This record gives sequence, C-alpha cells and structure tokens, in this order.
Amino acid sequence: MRTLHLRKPKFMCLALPAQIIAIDPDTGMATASVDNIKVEVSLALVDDVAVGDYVLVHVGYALNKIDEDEALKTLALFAEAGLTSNP
Amino acid sequence: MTPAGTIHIELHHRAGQASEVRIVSARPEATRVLLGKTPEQVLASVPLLFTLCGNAQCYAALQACRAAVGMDAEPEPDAAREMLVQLETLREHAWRILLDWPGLVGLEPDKKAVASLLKFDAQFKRHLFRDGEAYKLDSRLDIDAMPLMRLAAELEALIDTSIFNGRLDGFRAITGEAQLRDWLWQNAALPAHLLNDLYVQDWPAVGRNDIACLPELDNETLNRQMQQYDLTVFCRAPHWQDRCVETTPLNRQWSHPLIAELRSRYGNGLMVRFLACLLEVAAIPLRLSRLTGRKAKPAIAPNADGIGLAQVQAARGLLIHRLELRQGRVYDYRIVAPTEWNFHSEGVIAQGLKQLKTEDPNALRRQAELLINAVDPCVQYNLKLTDSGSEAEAHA
Repeated sequence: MRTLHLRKPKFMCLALPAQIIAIDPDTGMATASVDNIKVEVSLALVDDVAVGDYVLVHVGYALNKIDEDEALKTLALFAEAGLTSNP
Repeated sequence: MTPAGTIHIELHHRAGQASEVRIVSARPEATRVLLGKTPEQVLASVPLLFTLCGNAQCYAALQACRAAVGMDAEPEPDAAREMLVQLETLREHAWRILLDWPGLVGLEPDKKAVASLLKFDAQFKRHLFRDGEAYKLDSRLDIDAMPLMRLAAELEALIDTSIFNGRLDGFRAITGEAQLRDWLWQNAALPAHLLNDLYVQDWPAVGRNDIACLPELDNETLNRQMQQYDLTVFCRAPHWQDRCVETTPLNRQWSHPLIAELRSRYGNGLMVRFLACLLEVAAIPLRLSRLTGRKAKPAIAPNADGIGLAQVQAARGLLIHRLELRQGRVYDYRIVAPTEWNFHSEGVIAQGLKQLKTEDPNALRRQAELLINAVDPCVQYNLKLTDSGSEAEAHA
C-alpha cells in the first residue's frame, strides 16, 4: 500500500511580482526576491527567464514573465494597500 | 508583513481521534487599495492584484462596476466572459491534478502539460475580444470562431492525454460507482492513482460532515442578506441564514448522477470532492468547443444608490464583489471569496476535521491535509496538531 503524502502548503491568489536574482540552469530553479524576501521558484512553466526579470509566482512556480513597468505598478499597488512592507 | 495571508488551523486530538478544531484567518484585505478609485481605475487595478483567479475576479469587478454606474447588461460579451472563467476553472483544476495530485501518491508532477495549459488564456481572449481586452467598460466582443474551435480541440486533446490518459470519453460516460471502479481498474491516468488510493485506504468518506451547500441566490437577495450585517464581519466570516455553508466545486456537481450516488454512500467526504473537480475538467472542454459558458446572473444596482453586486462561479466556488460608489468613486468595496465561507471557524473544513478518526497522529495529519486540499487547494495554511491527552497529562 502506498502512503499518501503532501507537498508544502500553498499560497493565496494575490499575484505578487518577484524579481529573479539567480538561476541554476542545472535544476531549472531560481532564487527570486518577493518583497525583499528570498524564495526558491521553479522555472519549469516559463520560457526565456533571465536574471533581473520579473515573474508572478504561485506555489513555488514562476507562472509568467511580466514587464518591469507592470511589475512596478503592481508592487506600488500592493504597497498602497499596505500588503507589502516596501513601496 | 507578508502579502500572502495564512490560515492557522489547530486540530486537537486524542491519539489520532479529532476532538476540537480552531481556525484563525489572517488573510489580507486587498480591496482597501480600490477605495477612492473610479470604476475605470478599479478595472485597471483588479488584474494587477489577482492573477490566479484573474478572470473570475475581473469579471466580478466588471459586473459590479457596470451595475453600480447603471449600465445595461451585455448578454453576449458576458457569455464570452463566462467562457474565460470556465477556461480558468479548467486551468486551476488541471494545475492541481497535474502538479499536486501526483505528489499526494508519490508520483512526479506533469509540469510540461501545465506549461502548455497556461498559454490558452491569452489565446482565447484574443479570439473573443478586440485587442484581447475582456474586462473594460468599453470592451468589444470580436469573436473569431474558427481559431476558437481549433483552440478548444487542442485543449481537449491536451486534457485527454495528460489527465485522462486517452480515456476522457470513457470518464465522461460514467454515471455510477460501478462504472467508476471499472474506469479506475488498471488505469494509469494520474487522477486514477489518487482515487484508487482513497479506495485502498478506505478513505472515500473521510471528512464527511453535515454542512450544507450555499444555495443559488439572486443578487438582490444576497445583497439584502449582506446589508443586515456589518460588512467587514460578514466578509470575514460569511454565513447564510445564520448557518455555515460551503461553496466549492461540489455545489456545482451536486446533482451529477455519479456524485449523487457517491454522496449516498460517502457523504461529502474526500471522494466526491476530488471527483467534482475531475468532472468539471472533463466537461469544460466540451462547453468551450460549443462556445458556451454558464448563464450569467444579472448584476444589480439596488435602489439606484450606487451599489453594484456580482456573483461569479470561480474555480474554488462562489466569488462575490460588492461595491458602493459615491460621486463616481468607490466608497466601499468588498470581496467575499470561497475561502471565507469554507474556512469559517464553524464551516465545512472545521466540521470535516472534527470528524477525523484515525489510529495515529500521522494518519490524522495526512487525512487533515487531504481534506484541506480537497476543499481549497489554493489556500496557504498552517496545520498544528495538538494531542489533548498528552497536554492533559502534562498539565496534571
């Protein structure tokens, strides 16, 4: 009989942009900065991501790449709402 | 402060037998940022705030704004928007089935199929609305039927291969448990592994409880109910007629013959919850290929006082947006997400967890996590198990 086991808990549906600060091409994983917190994200679901790019992150995966303007606009919106610590 | 609110769940038990549940939500109120904005600014902000259920959020915001400014209903564009919400529901369920469900039974996730699925949203929008803009007050429907039909066919093929292992038609024909068992037998499809495991562990009824589903409500009735309460309190802990209710994919699949039969045996336990998602995944590509969504409920502007309320069936359940305009700007904006109904301190998760009876704390944790994931796989939670027996001894 197989044992049921679970992955880590999940994140909610707010989409906070994360900036890629390092990529490990061997594993397809990246380190990204979300509100000055470093998180590990998988790049398995996106193409052509480079250091400095902004991505939307969910459940440990980069969902899609967004341009810097949109990322900064979104971050400003989150800061305005008091949802992040930094404007 | 972290942007992702966490739900803290404390499950007290005695040697694996659940005794008490405490749920505390710290989910953020993102709608604060919408106060003072014009409807146009609201509709520009909402897609930046929400991505995962972005279509449902944007559609609900658009309908509520339109109602609040007294614009007429748009049946045809709304039917196209309903299609986009359906597509999103399919994507959200498929994400869980391909990335999370394999992890529940020790298999590898199928990331490639999910990556392919993520591309459909923009393509559907482009062939439904001018410039792919679906959620503006001045969005224009511009349907390009042939490419849409091709996209729907591609989507169906992708779902059939990646989720149903080529046996989608067989799954669609299932109307009872015996047929389900036949379909599961020696089936290598990813979801079949999880459903088979539930049978093997004798866990189909795990989490069964008496919480009812939220009935379908018209917007006027819902608005009247909400106005009876402090809106902040209601949005954090919603209820219907002073009772906790759930709003999940199970509500929508309640009358499906397979679900009806399984409910009679296993109640609203794990099996019907996972199957409800799978049934939606199987049905949506067909609806998209016929270019049909669900029927939209007309949003309201009760008493012409600048209030707009909209209900949209999002992937996880009912999503409500309610706003109040004064002098053309948002004076009040509320969102009631499915999570608030389902993770109410006395709601379906709390009652389901209280029913868990296992042999040991490890099994209890696994069942609790499965139940939470089956009801709302999107929410960030922190589950703490406390053995009341040990605690009592420690305090003795």
